[in-house]
Amino acid sequence: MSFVEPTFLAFFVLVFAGYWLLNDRRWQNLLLLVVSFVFYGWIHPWLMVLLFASAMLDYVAARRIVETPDRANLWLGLSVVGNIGALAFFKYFDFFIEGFGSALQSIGLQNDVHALGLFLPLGLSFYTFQTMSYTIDVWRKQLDMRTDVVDYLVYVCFFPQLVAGPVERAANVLPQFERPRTFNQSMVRSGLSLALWGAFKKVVLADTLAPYVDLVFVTKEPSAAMIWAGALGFTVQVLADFSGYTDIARGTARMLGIELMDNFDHPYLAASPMEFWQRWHISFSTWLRDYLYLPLSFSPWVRKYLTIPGTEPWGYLAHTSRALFITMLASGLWHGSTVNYVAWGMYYWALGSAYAYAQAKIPKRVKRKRNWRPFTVPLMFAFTVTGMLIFRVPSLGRLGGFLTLNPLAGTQDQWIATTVLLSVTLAVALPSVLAMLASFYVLPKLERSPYLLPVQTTLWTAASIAMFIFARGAGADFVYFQF
Amino acid sequence: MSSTIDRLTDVFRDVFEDDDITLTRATTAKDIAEWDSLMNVALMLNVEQSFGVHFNSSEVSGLKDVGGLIDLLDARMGAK
Repeated sequence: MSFVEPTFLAFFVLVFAGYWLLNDRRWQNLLLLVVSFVFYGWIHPWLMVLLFASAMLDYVAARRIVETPDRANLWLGLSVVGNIGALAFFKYFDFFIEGFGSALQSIGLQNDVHALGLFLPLGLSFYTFQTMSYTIDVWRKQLDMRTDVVDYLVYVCFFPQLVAGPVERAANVLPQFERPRTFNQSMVRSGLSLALWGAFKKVVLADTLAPYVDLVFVTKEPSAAMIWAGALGFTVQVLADFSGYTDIARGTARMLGIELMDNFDHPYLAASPMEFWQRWHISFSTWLRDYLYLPLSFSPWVRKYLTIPGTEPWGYLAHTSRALFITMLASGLWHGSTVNYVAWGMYYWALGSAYAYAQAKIPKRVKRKRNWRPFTVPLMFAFTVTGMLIFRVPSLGRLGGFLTLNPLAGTQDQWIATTVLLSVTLAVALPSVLAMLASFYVLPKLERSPYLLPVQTTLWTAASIAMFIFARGAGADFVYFQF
Repeated sequence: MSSTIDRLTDVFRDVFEDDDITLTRATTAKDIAEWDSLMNVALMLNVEQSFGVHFNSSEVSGLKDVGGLIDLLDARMGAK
């Protein structure tokens, strides 16, 4: 079930009413668990089996880690291998099989290997990371192992964040499920505002822009200007889409008295690659930081076998660059099995390493001489748009072709297409920019004023009307892009 | 011998090249603009060197503020 289909609205109204009528945390959790399975099984019932298996693997692994400390490492390994194994099987099996098949063919052998035609179970990438973090935290003794299986399963299966995150940490969410929740009107209003804003971003902004952007990347011979306008459009679209999804997740969770972590913090205002990762898909990048990047930097095994002694400051830079390489490769692979996701990861590794080098080499007096952000923020944004292009192109071969085009060439139709795309992108970006400015300057004042209620209600109505109009109009493609 | 927080302040000033840094137990990465994931690793490596200890990744990821770092260091130094 998708957040932006009418069925979800009916589903959520029923869940919301039942949840607050129950008024006992144990029954509430049981209800959440049942409806989460309904929500997830709606797509395909067997998906629930995989979800349940992954969740129970970590439930058992964490218990065993605590109960049999001498075998803690073994159980941690089982959890990691089980989760990564499931992810790798569904995500990459066909990719490798196809690659293997064509390799056989290229050396003249008959190709008898077949792809299984697997589809990636929805949410698998998110919930396996979430359950793994639980086991690792217990193993690290940063979290108490849980015995109540319902509370634990609700933490894994909670429907608002099951399918596309935020990738929650047990330390943040589990205690919330373990204590009674009280109905609070302002909490529900704030949750509803957030969810509606998220739906608006998805339905009105992202989905309006999507068909224009898609056309650029299916057009046979786009001009360079069209491609860059497409990359810019995709940059705007993907943030509206993903942060919209996150806001619906956080908003609906808040209406049920559960506060989920934030996933986006104005990522396009970042002034460096590192700052970008602190602002973009935060729950995922902090996961990589805590469970991959830091172990790569500090684990005794890495220190013993992989550090380069006596080459400071190059030792530190090499150390950082290597840890970044593995982290960004993992990030690319997590997104998908095609080569351009790997290239995208490598692009951020190169950016991160160059940044680390510059940080070490540029003297502090130069850095402190003035506020560089007016220059570094647009520069980083240009790097982000380029990254989005790598992310979005259908194949790396096409990317190479795109980048060698004459930037100023183009037919009249192509220039019109570029202008239209840029105009739609700007029109879509404007509400997001206005909302950002409002959240900085207006919202803090408004929250303390008596006008909050009427302003909120007006905005809800306006957003709902806009969604009604745009949801019906979406999907109409613009003719000029076909040329 | 100077206290742990004084020694830490010296390491912070050295790593971030800023003599105005004053640490309290409540100081977090949010209080120092340049304290990002990369600098955190550089900082922790320098703290290790200066105090003659080794951290593991659980300890580094479990730190929430400077207070946590001081407690960790004190526990290590006490155990020596």
